[in-house]
Amino acid sequence: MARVVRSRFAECMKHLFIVLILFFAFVPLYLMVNISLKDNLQFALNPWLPSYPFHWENYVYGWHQIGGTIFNTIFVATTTTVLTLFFAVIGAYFFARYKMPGSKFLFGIFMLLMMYPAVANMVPMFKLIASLGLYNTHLSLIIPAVAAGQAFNIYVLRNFIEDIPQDLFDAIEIDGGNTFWQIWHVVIPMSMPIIGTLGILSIIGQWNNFVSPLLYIRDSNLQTIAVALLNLEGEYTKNWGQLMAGYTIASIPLIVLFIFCMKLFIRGLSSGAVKG
Amino acid sequence: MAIEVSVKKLRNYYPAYFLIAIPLFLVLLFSYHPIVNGFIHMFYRWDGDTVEEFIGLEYMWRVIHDSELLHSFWVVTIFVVANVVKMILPILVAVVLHHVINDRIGYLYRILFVVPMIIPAMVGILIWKYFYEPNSGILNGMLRAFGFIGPTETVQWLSDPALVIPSLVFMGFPWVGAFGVLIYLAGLQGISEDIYEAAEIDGAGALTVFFKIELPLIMTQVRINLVLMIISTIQSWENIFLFLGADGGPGGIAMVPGLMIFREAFSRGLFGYGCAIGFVIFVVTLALTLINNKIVRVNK
Repeated sequence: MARVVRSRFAECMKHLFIVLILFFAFVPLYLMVNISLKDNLQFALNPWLPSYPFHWENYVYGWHQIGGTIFNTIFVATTTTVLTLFFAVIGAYFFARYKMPGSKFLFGIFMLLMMYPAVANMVPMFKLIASLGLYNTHLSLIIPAVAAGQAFNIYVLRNFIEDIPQDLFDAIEIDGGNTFWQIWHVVIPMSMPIIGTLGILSIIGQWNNFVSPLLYIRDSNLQTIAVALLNLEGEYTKNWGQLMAGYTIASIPLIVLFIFCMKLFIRGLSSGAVKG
Repeated sequence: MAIEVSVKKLRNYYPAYFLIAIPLFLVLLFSYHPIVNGFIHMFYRWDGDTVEEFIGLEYMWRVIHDSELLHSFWVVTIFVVANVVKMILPILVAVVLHHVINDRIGYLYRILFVVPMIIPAMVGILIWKYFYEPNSGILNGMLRAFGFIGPTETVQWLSDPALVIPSLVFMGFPWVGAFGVLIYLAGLQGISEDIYEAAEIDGAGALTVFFKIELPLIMTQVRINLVLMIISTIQSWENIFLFLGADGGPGGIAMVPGLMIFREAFSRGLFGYGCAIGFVIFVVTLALTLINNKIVRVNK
């Protein structure tokens, strides 16, 4: 890691550069939390710095507006992620461990999809959801997302499963382990870092998805967080403090997830998990 | 080592196909079926409900002559070029982070760079929308505080046609929220210490090291990010919808192809025309993929 120190000045400049970039990256977050504790008068007088008294009741209002949709989003995001990875691990195991007649063709069917622009499917997808009777149900968010996640996740997981040493599989086979025994006792433990990283990416993706719920969900009590925030922002008279409190509440679950998975995530990303 | 199964041995091994059955069923139903259905319906006048009338090539003809669609591809081109420029800062950040000597501070910096990334995209976009707000937004507030504009004046960031696209491009400054920094950093950490020592002995300056050693060695990651960025920029329309609504701002100045599909189908009920625009996006993406594959192969 250590490079030859050219000069103290150069070292200071590096830190200055990084701190400056970080400063700008954190301005939106700072203002969000800062404004979330103001009423409209305090906001008009001074949006920049904290001012007393703090209006914690903004958070009560914010929670009242979007709290329910947070639970919907957690349900949709975790179900989608678990199902996506469950099927993708089994699918990747198939491609990594068997060279069957037609394997290449089948793999091609998945890989071709990585090049297809999903946006071009917006209209026929909407019709499909409606004709399957999934419109206005959480399944309309879960099942298509599980399907859409298969190509990328199978691709990444296959590379990892192929790198698992043959000895481990042999040992399990001698013990009489069948396919699912192998997946449970060899594949999943060995590829845990990558499964974790893919899982976090999937949850973040679902948390940010607003197009599907906007198109497929009508009832507000089934709605997810992204559309709820959009509706909150669209109210005609804005109470900026309440609005920013809502934004802050919407950010907290991902931050908590990150705190628990930070090491796994940074290691997964930096070890070339997404090497392409 | 994978198990080689010939056609003869299939009798014993055919159950393995069941492992792939569910993923295959899912992509056939939820990816390939809509793709085919979309291709078919670009030849139909279709309102997504009762009206479904074959009109042959009428929409194809219209799509070729649609000046708004042409403009939308021009807008997307501007965004692609802007996003190429925006890639420079994450590369610089990764290189500087790589050169931070203190490991503990380096790790702290890395964690801090991930934090803006996990703020929900919707929240990030809506906060920037507030920044651009003419009356109470933070940007105009700053301009007022420094005396660039009078206390009651406003700059209409998202309604002045001259400012709409620059505002969209500037959104998200300093643009380091994506995965870019960590991925470049992973590439840089693969550079062996010997190379740096050799460069040191040759008296190479920091700039020479950057352009002759570091940049070439992370070029793979840069190129992958570039390709992913171009494909996703061509498809993206959510930001513009959230900032400017379904019409793409004043006079449709920031209209992009994806937003056009949304508007044609879901505001105007022209589902068939939405499919036709989708087909155009598909063809453009395909062409870019082929060009990209060719360039990558030449470089190898």
